[in-house]
Amino acid sequence: MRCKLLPRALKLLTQTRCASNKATRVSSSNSNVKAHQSENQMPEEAPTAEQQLTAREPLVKNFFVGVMDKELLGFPEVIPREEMANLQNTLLPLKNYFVEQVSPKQAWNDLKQLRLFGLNVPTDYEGSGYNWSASLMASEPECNVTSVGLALQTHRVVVDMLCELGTVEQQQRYLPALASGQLMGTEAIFEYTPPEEDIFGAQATYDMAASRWVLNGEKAFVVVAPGEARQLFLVLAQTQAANLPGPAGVGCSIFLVDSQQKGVRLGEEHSSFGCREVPMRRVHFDNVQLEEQQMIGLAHNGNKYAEQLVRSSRLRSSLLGISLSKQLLNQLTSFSIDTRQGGAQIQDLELTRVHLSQMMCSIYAMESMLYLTAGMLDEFAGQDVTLESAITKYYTMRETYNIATLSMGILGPKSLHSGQPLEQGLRDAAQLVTQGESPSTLSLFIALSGLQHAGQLMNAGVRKARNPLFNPGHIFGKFLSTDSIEQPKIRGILTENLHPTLEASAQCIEHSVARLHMAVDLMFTRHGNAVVEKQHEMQRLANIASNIYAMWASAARASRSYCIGLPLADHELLTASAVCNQGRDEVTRLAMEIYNGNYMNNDNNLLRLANQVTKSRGYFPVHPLTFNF
Amino acid sequence: MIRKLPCILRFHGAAAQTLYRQQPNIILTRNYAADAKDNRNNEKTRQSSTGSSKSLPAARNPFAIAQEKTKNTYLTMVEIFMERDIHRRNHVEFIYAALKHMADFGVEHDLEVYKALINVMPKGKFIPKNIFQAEFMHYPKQQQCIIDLLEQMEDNGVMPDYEMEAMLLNVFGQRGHPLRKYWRMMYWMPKFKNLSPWPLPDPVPDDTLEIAKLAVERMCTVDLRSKIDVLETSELKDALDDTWIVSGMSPEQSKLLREHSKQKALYIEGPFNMWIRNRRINYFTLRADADVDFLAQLDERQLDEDDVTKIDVPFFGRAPPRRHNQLGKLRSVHQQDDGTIMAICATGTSTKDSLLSWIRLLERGNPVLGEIPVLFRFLSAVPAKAEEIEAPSSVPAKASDINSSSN
Repeated sequence: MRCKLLPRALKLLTQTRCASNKATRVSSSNSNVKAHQSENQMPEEAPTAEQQLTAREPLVKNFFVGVMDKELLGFPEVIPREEMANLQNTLLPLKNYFVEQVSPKQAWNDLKQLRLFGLNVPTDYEGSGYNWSASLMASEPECNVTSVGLALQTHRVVVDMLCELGTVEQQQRYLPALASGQLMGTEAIFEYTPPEEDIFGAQATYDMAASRWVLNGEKAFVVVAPGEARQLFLVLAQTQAANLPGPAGVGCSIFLVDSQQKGVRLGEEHSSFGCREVPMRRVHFDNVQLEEQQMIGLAHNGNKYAEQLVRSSRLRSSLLGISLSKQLLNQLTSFSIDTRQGGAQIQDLELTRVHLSQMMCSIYAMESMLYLTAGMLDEFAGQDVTLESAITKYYTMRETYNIATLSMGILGPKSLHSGQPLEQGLRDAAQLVTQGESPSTLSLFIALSGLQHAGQLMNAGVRKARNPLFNPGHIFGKFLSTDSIEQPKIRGILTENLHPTLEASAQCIEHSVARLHMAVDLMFTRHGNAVVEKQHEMQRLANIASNIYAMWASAARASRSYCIGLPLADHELLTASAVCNQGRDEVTRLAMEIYNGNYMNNDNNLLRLANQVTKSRGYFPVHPLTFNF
Repeated sequence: MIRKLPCILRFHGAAAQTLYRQQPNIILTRNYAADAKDNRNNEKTRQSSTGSSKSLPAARNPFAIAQEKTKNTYLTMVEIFMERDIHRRNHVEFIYAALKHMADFGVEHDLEVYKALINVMPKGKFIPKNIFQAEFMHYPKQQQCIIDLLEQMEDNGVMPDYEMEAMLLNVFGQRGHPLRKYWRMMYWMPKFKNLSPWPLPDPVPDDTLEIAKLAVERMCTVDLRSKIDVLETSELKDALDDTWIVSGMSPEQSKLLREHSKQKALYIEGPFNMWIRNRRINYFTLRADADVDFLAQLDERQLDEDDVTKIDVPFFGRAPPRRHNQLGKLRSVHQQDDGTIMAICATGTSTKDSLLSWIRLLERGNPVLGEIPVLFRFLSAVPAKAEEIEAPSSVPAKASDINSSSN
């Protein structure tokens, strides 16, 4: 393998030495300067010090401008070897506990003994102190029971927020209790009926005299721990900046609200479709008095911190989707092996085989994306993975639901029979898709973030392309270039960072990135800054970007696995190739749709139809057998 | 080309028309005494249309003197004519007369009646024997008569059916001009029948309240969230008129009303006309002067459309971004250049008092209305309150009587 992973290798080396308190100099002649520096600066007596490299350019955001960071094709190995061994040892009992079908009720009682609440709480506060990758890995077993997993993941999100943004005082106040499970963290962000004009219905006002915040309103879909556990709600509430009247001063702030505070009331329980074992309720806040220490970050700046919040919740909820998909696939596979119908085994039918492999490929891509994203977070200090985490969740949720619905085709009506494991899987999948941000919001978020990044870098070119008569040279250049969206030119820069077997896949990725870049350029040229209104095209863009990231992550992982000879690595290569082939076709189709424009790709028809649908308030054609005369 | 010839003739042919019609009128019944006035009128029009000064014997028109003007009597008269003698003399004149009086009997939208009239034509007599007869419109008077009948159907929006095709085929044959007209009608009329974006029920209800609801609903389609309320003035204590008010207002308009400055007056304007098929409805608007500053600000927002560096990414709870709305409000459909329409209404009496009641009733959902001055600004005289009108003895019983005398 010709990977240029030297800085990483060096870092790993130093970490292992660090851990064993035997820091020695690396006598490598051509070592990377950065690695050297970090190694030199490393205090030798601090074995647990964070060894993060300086942040790289954002990966997926740069796809939008056609730039690929080939260094990131090396799948991150952020958990040092010894820690990995320890981690796997500690996970063993957990795996054994959750592998047999435990009832969620029983599991709730055992969670404290299993020490599952403090996985990502720093060791200073009696937690396990795992980083992103390790804590995700450690929470895999519990995700076997989706309901339990759902509750624990939202707990972890609150912990993540406290670790990243909380003051030392806040951390001391809450983290030990959160780590031990005395206090259960819960997000309270979404509302049953969002207000027409404002951001949130829940609003907090500042009481100057008492220097307190007063919170009023209601939140819905709040995961509540069963039993009498104390809860810590992470509430997003709308606040109005005092010095800025009117809509300009409207912001949101993040509060930590204890469930035992006066004025906090648990409301009705939602009878939801899936994840029924974990109660979801409304929470009412009536004049809840909040101290200033109960606010995370600065007031009115919630949107700034929302990025951290969504990043954490996206990554952690993706894990649930992956676990659920794995279970579904395993069940379907056993079913198709064990069942004979009409003299043929289901596993031998070509359609079943194709479906099973497609599920397998999706799950492989999801898992690779999740750990690549988490690895980047751990490896680089302050790495921008907003888009990566959003894509991970978007792709995972979409595919999990697909997998769950595919089971209906393989199993038939049995799949919906109540009590069947697949039926529960389908319900849980539907619940997970709607939990938190909806897929359509996510897709818009992905496209907008990418466009935002691309817009800043491509503005000069866009301006020229939109004013062709003032910039004839630019236009002639475009006419003369032989680059086309069907056959983009590539430079083959990725091939040397992957195993040679994956050369074709590397080309697929490069082609796709080039197409994405051209599609973005086209959209900017056509619409200018009105591009933000073209939501259907943006959705295509989001699908392109998520496919590319899936390809990238799968190829990176498969290459690593094969090079170090993990079990069944040759099939991983096959999986990655399949993901890349399918991804390239999908990207080509979507990019061509964008290229063809709204008259050719049917958008125009659909938008025109929508006018009549709204005017008629729904289905408008009369009965097909109607007479006119 | 040959086929088109009669058509050209027809279009250019006041001459052709007069040719066919200059037959002496023939007396159908022996009752001369009644309705001399009507005859005189008929004669006058006929003379002026033909341009001939020759005085013709007046025809006796059974439709003009019928006492009871209903569909049944109409059909009975057609039946009497058909059974009177085997030759059915003057059937063309009879059909013209029948066509003319359809509206009086209220049967102008009734397909059955038209069919009955076509049925008056003898079957098989007027079928052209060869291609020259067919193309040069043999039996011009008869054919033109039925073409006119079809034309009247078209004007009244009555769509023929297949039975009528069979009748025309029996009377004029495969190449008859009325049948061609029928085919053209059957091509176009179904296409036009449902073309209106605001379809009306068929038949349109006769009740003014129902028509007012239709009118207000139709105007409120500009904003899909509009709600139509039927209010009763009797809900208010001090209302003078006891009538209904059909009021249309959307949440968007309520919002505009809340944001309206309390120093600036609102105007009740009207009455404006709206036609629902052949009925007129008066309606009024509650209007504010245009928010000039806001509209000017919209014009001033000269955005650089080529600048793609400032794309906003919303987190949860934020609206998806729009080009013109990175900050600030959108213009609603109710904010027109000449004013902001807050609500519309039609009242049963169209009086000042009922409009006042309207404002009072609107205040229930929009309390802010109580603090804004509301002024009347009428386009024509509007009575203060409903007056009891006693019918004068000389009022004609039916509108059709007035029409026929002014013919």
